[in-house]
Amino acid sequence: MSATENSTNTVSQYSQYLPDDKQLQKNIARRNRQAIIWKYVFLFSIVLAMFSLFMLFFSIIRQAFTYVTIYDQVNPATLSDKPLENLSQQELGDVIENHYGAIRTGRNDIRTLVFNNVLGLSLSDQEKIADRERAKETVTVREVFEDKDKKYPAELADQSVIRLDVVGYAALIEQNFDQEQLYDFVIKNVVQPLIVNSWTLDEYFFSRDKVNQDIADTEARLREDKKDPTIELTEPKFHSWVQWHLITKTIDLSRPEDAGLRTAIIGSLWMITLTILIALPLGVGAAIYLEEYSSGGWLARIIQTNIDNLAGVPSIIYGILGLALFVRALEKITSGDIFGLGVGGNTATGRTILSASLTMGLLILPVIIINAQEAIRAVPDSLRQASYGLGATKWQTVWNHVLPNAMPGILTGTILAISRAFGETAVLVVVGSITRITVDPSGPFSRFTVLPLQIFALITQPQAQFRNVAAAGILLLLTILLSLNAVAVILRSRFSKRAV
Amino acid sequence: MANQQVVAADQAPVAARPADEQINLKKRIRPFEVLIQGFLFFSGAVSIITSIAIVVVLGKEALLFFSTPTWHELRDQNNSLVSLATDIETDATTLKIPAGTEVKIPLNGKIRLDNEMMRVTAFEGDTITVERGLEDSPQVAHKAGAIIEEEGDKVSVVEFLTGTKWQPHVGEFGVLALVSATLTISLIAMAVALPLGVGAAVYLSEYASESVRNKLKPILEVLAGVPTVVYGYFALTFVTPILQGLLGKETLGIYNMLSAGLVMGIMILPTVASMSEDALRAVPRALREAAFGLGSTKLETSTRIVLPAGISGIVAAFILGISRAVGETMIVAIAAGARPYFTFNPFEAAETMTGHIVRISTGDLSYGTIDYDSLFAIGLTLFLMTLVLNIVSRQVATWLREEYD
Amino acid sequence: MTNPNGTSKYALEARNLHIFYSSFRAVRNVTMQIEPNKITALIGPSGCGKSTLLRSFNRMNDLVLGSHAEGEILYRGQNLYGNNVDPVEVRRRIGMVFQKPNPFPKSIFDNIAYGPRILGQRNKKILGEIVERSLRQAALWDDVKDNLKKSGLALSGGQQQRLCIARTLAVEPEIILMDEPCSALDPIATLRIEELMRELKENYTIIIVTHNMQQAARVSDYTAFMLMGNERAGELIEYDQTERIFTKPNDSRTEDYITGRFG
Ligand SMILES: Nc1ncnc2c1ncn2[C@@H]1O[C@H](COP(=O)(O)OP(=O)(O)OP(=O)(O)O)[C@@H](O)[C@H]1O
Ligand SMILES: [Mg+2]
Repeated sequence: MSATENSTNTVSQYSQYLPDDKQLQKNIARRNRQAIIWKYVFLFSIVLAMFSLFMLFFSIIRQAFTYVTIYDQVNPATLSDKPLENLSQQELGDVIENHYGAIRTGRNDIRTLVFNNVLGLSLSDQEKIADRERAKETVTVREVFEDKDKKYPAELADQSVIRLDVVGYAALIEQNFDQEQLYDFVIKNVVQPLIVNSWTLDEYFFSRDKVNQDIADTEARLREDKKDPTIELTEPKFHSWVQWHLITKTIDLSRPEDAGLRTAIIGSLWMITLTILIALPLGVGAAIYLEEYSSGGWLARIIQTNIDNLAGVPSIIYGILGLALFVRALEKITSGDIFGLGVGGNTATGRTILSASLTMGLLILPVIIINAQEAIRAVPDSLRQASYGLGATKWQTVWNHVLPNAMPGILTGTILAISRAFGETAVLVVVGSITRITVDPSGPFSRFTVLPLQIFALITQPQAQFRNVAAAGILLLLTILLSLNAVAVILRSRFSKRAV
Repeated sequence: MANQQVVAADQAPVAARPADEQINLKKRIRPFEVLIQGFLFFSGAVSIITSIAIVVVLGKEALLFFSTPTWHELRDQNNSLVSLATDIETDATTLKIPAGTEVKIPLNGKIRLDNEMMRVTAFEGDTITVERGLEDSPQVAHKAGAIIEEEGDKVSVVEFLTGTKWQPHVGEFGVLALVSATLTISLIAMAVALPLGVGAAVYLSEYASESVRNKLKPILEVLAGVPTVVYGYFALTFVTPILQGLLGKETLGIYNMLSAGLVMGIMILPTVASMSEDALRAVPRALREAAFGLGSTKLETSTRIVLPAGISGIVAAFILGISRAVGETMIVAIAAGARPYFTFNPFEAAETMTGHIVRISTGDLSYGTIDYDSLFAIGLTLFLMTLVLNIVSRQVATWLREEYD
Repeated sequence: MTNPNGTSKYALEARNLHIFYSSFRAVRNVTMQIEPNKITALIGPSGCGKSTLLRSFNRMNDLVLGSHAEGEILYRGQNLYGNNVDPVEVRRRIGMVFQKPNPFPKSIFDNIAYGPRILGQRNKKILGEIVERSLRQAALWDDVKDNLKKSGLALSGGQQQRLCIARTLAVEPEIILMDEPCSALDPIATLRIEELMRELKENYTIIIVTHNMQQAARVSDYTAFMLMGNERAGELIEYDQTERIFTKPNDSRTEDYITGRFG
């Protein structure tokens, strides 16, 4: 580099104060090296964050789709000499008649199956039938089956629908199901396969030997437990824990593969709806008050500081507040007692959807207020002046001009608040929703559970397969939340375009 | 032509207003407006009511906690539990304890069997004479082998704040046992979130182009929007096994503070990153230009000029991050274990304040027990800790604003 | 104009220089030579590319995403826009003072010591000497010598600008670029900076952008007049000794501008 070589004779002003040129040249090389290294260090931070997110999703997916071994509680070979899927409708019916109850308790179980799967009777309808029978009235097969437009063998027509034997119920099932449905029924209720062990995707792909060893161990242990050396596990296979029954069935803490989250989902929906009904008007109202009505005096300042502080209070504190205030102090109201609406069956306590929603409402209030304030502030003043200029009152101005223009922003904030409430767990643990509940909530005064809480309960179950159910539940939860966020992002981008 | 006529016709009535018409310009009360204003004011006040309610509820119940006597199991000279030697009937007034046990029971002191409270009126050898069913507690028969508890002192505020043992069954309520875990986990979390968060912020604000930043930030937001129960799952089923693989199962149990802390760090990272990035971007461009103009490299500009200039925002992010960590619940409830021991060893399982609140509230908690009341005392401690952290964080953040406006 | 051994008698030399912001050409085909130890003023109406040209002289434009240059800027025989030229090194040798004073939010001492420190000077005593010398050169020493620990932001606007000049001097550049250094200052502070520039030209080459005709006439030895040409690209209209430009310019557009009939 010619410049460097020449610099010593041409530049006289360079003093002894700075390192000499050679040194500087060396320094600069080192500094540039450092600059590059650190650039990658900074990049690494953000890459690591992205990687964590990826790993987070991976950790769930690997548990939601697993490699499983299944133990058929009744060996299909003992049911028929042909493979089950080749049996005719008639033969499958016989299998049910002859073998149903080998494991299950028998009549009561198959009756429930007929009522639920064949007739699709609601719980209250079943209750009604039982009541009439208790009153010595005979509810006939004809009555119930004709009512539901289902087929039944003539010889059973006049018998009581709840007093048939296994053979009778088996006949009813056989008449109303096609071959495929019957086959499914036999597998589920006669063969009763049980998932005895499961391995995550990565275990399957990267530690095959261990998996094989595990399978052998499982089989040996099972033989020992059941004192039956002939037991054989069926061919291991992949199993998706994300299944339709996740949203149609209720929780079953004895059989992971049948556990559904319906009660929790309905509970979440009830709670969110009620929460929004409570928090949205209050939140937007507070924002309007602060932005449009208050004159920025000490009161408004206190409210504002207060809101900022509330936004930082840990959610579990709200849970404690809800427990003391809504669940206990206002028990009469939140349990529905004073309205005479307490849901029967569940001993009336304040641990209801209403209590949870009130608590959750307080929790998300700051989020809604802060977002609504921003949205309202973004509405140009010229609009207000135009409205006042036409002789509108304050509220008319707010209602007709400010609110419609701030609406997208308010909605975005609300959606963000909803997604916060949807995933919130700690509050509800303390407010005390119950996790073993299988009765769908039917109103604000019902006891309930919500999705994240049910997931928490599943995680803490001792049986490992419930972790797989939890993973499936988490996928469901994340799907809901990501969709909500996507809507918020779209809204926000449309909003910002309009504001330009 | 036709149009003009229509316009003219419309104008006629206005033009026809008499000059001497009475116009009322007096203030008018509009009931609807007043009502609305009332509702709006109420909405604003709800937040204040909430704050007051939090303070009152926590304070009141915590007071109750400090004024309720504790109960602990009766122990003999060998420090083993003392239990009932024979069954007693619903209205019997003497209890037998195993022969030869030496215990100290103060006369007139209270003892408890199952949930029934009794007053000791006499005590001789292995026979205790009692007055049954005190304070409306259910007077029932008790089986031999039932553990006898005796009433102890109330928990003093000092004991609560300085005690390092949390053992409700022997009447020990030292919140430091829980605070130690809270602090350990929070520190681990911040050790992850601070360097990575600030590093990510520097990258986003100083290095990344606009389009890269616009792609990366939403991903960070996703990370921030994942429910904490999912992070807990991640810690328990993924991070812990990996750590166990690295450190050995003897060193690290299934439940440990390390895994909970690391994952909590990941959870807080987006908050720290985005607040720090805001702080860095608020640093005026002119400062960067000055630094570059003097021949600084990008690194020197970022770390020697921009970072120090944005330091108050970063400190604010740091403090807010700690406050989040202290209040975070589900991760620790799932992954850190249920052992309320005073320890700072990250390889051990330990229960935080929030974790303890979750555990006692998932059990069947009956109102009015000291366990129930302790929940509020812990809650109050937690509330005050986070409140102070939040206020400090906000104060630090305002310093930044004052500097450049 | 280049000596056989690669050095030039000019401090800087632009040859057929075009500067772009992405696809927009902000400066077209500028060729000019900057005399060493003189003050050169760039004048012209707003938006004609003065700052752009000035900032290309130490590659500050690199910081604007999508900016690039065609042509050459020769500095001691080397093209500043050539491959392998490190802008970090360039900027140390060709320092810059900005329109708005921009001291770092640090103490006065640290503001000035920053440059020497990044260049590797750790010695406390020498740093102290550098600070004193730079502050004296910038005529700020007497104002601040008793509280060097004070924040640079606590000074008045004029003092802040002199602090920024001192900060630039501390890394011992050869050339100092000044982009409207007085536009944020009151007349008295402006006069002091002008005085300072005249003192500094003994040792430094100074290029200054200014909107203030009197200032250009007062302090500069050479003046370059720029104007927006086709497609809003800035062009160099006339470049000569200041005296000539202000007394008998060659181009009528120059005359229009300096007599205030234009822009
Ligand atoms: N960062 C940038 N990105 C894109 N275009 C720019 C940028 N900076 C300046 N320009 C454009 O380049 C042209 C020249 O700008 P420049 O700032 O050099 O003008 P100027 O002569 O310094 O004006 P002024 O006297 O107002 O400072 C203008 O048209 C301007 O819009
Ligand atoms: Mg300019």
